[in-house]
Amino acid sequence: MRPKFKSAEKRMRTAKPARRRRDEANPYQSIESQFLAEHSKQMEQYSGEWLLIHGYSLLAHNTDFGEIEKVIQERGIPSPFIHYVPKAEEMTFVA
Amino acid sequence: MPFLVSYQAKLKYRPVPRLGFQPALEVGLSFGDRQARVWGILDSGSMVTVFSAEVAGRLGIPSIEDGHPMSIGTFGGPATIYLFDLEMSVAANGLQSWFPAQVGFCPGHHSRNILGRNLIFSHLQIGIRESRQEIYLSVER
Repeated sequence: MRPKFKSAEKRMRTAKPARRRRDEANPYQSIESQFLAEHSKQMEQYSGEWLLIHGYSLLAHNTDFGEIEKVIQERGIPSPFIHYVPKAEEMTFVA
Repeated sequence: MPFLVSYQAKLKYRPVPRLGFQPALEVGLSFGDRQARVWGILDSGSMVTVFSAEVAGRLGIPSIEDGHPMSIGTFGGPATIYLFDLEMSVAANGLQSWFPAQVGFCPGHHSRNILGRNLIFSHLQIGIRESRQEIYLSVER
């Protein structure tokens, strides 16, 4: 059975990156970083969760990193892009 | 006497979810045959480079406590991180750099990855222009 997604999530899955010239370097370093930067506000809904971004889409999100690792293994992603979205109490920081 | 500094790459600060615009870089980490890519925040005030325990898990490190322990001082009080020898990469605007990296992992969850002075600042020349929210990078020679 296909999973059901909220409409905002579906929009993110079908979004396309801004077009660049073929010889133009990606200012975000990778397509995954570009997706995260361009959907930063939308990703805030996943506070306290780990994100797995693959290509220009959010592949998985979960509070349990083990679940993210399962998706990485199932998909055979050799160099996955992962990101943790802080909770409210983790937002302000000093090193 | 004035002098000129030139860099190979320029990146803008990027919006990190819930943290706003930060001088963050995507770095690649490699340990054996396992890899991960994450964002880390450049922090010239930190002597060490530290990642969350979950990143160690992704890299196939079964127990963080197997690393070399290092005591660090934080505003939250003293803490211990565990150091591992990995490889790190930075790729940006035509700049590509892989280097051996001794990075620390916190036991337990840490909400952000810190790119400290001991590592990335030694392998790359880094300029930060806060007023323009720009990062400048060159491979150190």
